[in-house]
Amino acid sequence: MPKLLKSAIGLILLLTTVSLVTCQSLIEVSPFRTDPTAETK
Amino acid sequence: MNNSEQLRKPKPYQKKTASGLIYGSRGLLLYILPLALIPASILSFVYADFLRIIINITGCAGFLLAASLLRKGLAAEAEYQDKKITQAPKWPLKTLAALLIALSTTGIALLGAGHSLLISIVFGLGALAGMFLLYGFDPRQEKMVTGSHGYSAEEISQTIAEAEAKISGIEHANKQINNRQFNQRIQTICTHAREIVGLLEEDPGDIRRARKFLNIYLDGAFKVTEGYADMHRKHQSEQLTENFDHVLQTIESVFIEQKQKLLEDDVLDLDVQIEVLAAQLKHEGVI
Repeated sequence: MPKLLKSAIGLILLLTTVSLVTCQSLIEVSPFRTDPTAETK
Repeated sequence: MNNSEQLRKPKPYQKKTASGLIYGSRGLLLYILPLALIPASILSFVYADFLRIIINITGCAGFLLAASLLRKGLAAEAEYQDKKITQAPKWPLKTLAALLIALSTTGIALLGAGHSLLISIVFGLGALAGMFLLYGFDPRQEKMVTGSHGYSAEEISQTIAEAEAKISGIEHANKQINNRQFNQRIQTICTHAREIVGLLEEDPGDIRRARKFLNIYLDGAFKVTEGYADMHRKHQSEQLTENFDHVLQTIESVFIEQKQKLLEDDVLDLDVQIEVLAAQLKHEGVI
């Protein structure tokens, strides 16, 4: 696999996984979070 | 241009930039990625959610520690690539950073974002794969120039490290001497010494002669420069300055000869020169 392609895939994987979980963690404590149980009520 | 003018115009020593990578931009991404955990920690404080405070702060610390380890690992790798003969870095810092990133990502996904264990592990493995693809693995093999010189990479790298330490010591002592002529001459000596060390790295077969030479002359040059820098501060003496100038000239010519001899690979002649000049330096009271 060419080095550039490897680096690009690595960058996308790292960006996606880490930023996704950290942003989700932020959303979990943010006041704008929608309560999933509210829709079912 | 005569010989002495040539000697007084040294090329400035420039360390390869790759080893200065610690100041480069590689690896900085990991300092930016966990930034969302800072407002998450603050909001957890605001809502007094103690579990999330611990989760977010620990996760953020894990990412930042991993970023620091990665930067050190990248710097060690750059130094490894710069050298022709060296051992692998002592600690696999890049691998440790990747594992720490995977662990922190899994932990944050599971406890902070509320994913299931399986999904959290998938996130962790994704981050681990991303780290290895983007930054690669740590170098684990010692680098050695091929040839039957009979020295291990450890012995050679130790000899070179010792020589470089002595050269740095001479340069440090040189900074304390307030004499432009001496400063220039000492810098020339250091440049020649570094070129000899470079030749050693290229051809470790010369290490027997170079070891003898470096132990006697480089050590002598270090001691005499350090001694003069010390004495020079306390009192000025014309006799002392004259002797030091004479010794520096001797050392400089010996270094040039050493370099030429290494290039010519003339073992016998060099040994004779070493014996003669050792006696001369002994006579001067340097060693």
